[in-house]
Amino acid sequence: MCANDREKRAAELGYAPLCLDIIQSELATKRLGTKFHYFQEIDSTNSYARRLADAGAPEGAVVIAEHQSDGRGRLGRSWESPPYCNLYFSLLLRPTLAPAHAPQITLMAAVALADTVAEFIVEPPAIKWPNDILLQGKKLAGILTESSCDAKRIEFVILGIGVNLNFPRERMPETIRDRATSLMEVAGNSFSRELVLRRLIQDLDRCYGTLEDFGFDAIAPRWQARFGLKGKTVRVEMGGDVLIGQAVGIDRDGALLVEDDRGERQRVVAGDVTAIED
Amino acid sequence: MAMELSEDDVLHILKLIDESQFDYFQLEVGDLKITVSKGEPIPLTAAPQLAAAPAAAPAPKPALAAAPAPKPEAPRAAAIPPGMVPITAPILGTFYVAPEPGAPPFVKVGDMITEDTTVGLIEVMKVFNSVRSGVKGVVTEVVAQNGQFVEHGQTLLLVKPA
Repeated sequence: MCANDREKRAAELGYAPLCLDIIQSELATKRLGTKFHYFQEIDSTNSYARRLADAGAPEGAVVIAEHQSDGRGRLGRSWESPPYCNLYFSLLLRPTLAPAHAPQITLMAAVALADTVAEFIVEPPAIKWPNDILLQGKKLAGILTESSCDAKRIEFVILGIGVNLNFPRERMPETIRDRATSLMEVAGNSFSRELVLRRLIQDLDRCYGTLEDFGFDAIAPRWQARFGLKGKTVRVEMGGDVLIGQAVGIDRDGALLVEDDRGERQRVVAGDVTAIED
Repeated sequence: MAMELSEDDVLHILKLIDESQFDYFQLEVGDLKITVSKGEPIPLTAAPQLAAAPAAAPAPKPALAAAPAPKPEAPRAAAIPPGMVPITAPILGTFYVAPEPGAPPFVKVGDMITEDTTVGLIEVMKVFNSVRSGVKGVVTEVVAQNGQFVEHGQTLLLVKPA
């Protein structure tokens, strides 16, 4: 479908482009939202933000797109991004964290995302380690964090976020329909994308400030409180290795702690984690 | 004489480190190697991607990775050929030579690279870190394999400086 056809179809469905004035007019942030880059269509907001970073852009830039022609998840997995009904954006950060602590950015963002969702809906959001937000056990939002660093410092971090907002189930591809949800699906009504995005940028700004100023210890308890897999039996797959055990929480580095059948706690820093029905 | 430590000795060391101002402790005597870290991810020599936390402690603080003797060919200990410069992992995680499966590698042997060339990705906790070369020269060997779990400081590539 070409861009014009998409816009016509969106108008028929009652969708409208984002109004940046609404987002920017009352945006209360210290670090984020310094500059907005808005696109009707782009390859991926993360890719554009990375180009900005490589060109020396300062921290706080927000890249928003109505449609991503090459929206990405982990390892090149695609991210479904129909126009005008969801949120797809990336933030350019230049944290002072040590490179080893870059994953804390993802965990911080998950806390902010969950806080925002909780502001708009009664149903409690849950975090699936380390980077997904679930509602009623289905994926509502995802985070794709990319960074560039050398041995001594992080040059930049690109925080890419996709949130399913007014995404009706019937428009979801069949491949994700049983695993994904949207705020509208759960609440039964649509939401202002501008108000949700403004709130989300503010929550990210606040949580990022806390992480930078006070460290991960100030964020971790809030992450733990929303950890959806706590106490559940999980399966962790990493390449050919499989670990099955009980999810305990995270350690001070953000690694997932899983207690195996011998009662030993394993630190998990990579791999796919899924809950197993007991 | 080989040095031996009992479980009580290890627990005693943990307690001392936990109560001290130090964040990181490494003891290496002959075949014995103990690494204790309060904050930084722990260099691992066993069980790629999964590191055993102490079973006895309800809250693993500090986390412990007590590995048996490091093998002589352990990646971190590998000798660097004369005239070569290693590009090392800035962070532990899974190393990828290409931006996504099926894509061409960032660099290959014989490529001329600059300090800013991206030579690989390291994924840890779903964060994809681009690794910058930091050195100008010609790639002579890609030491780490695609999909391999690498430790902080482990050699990824060797470069002959230009």
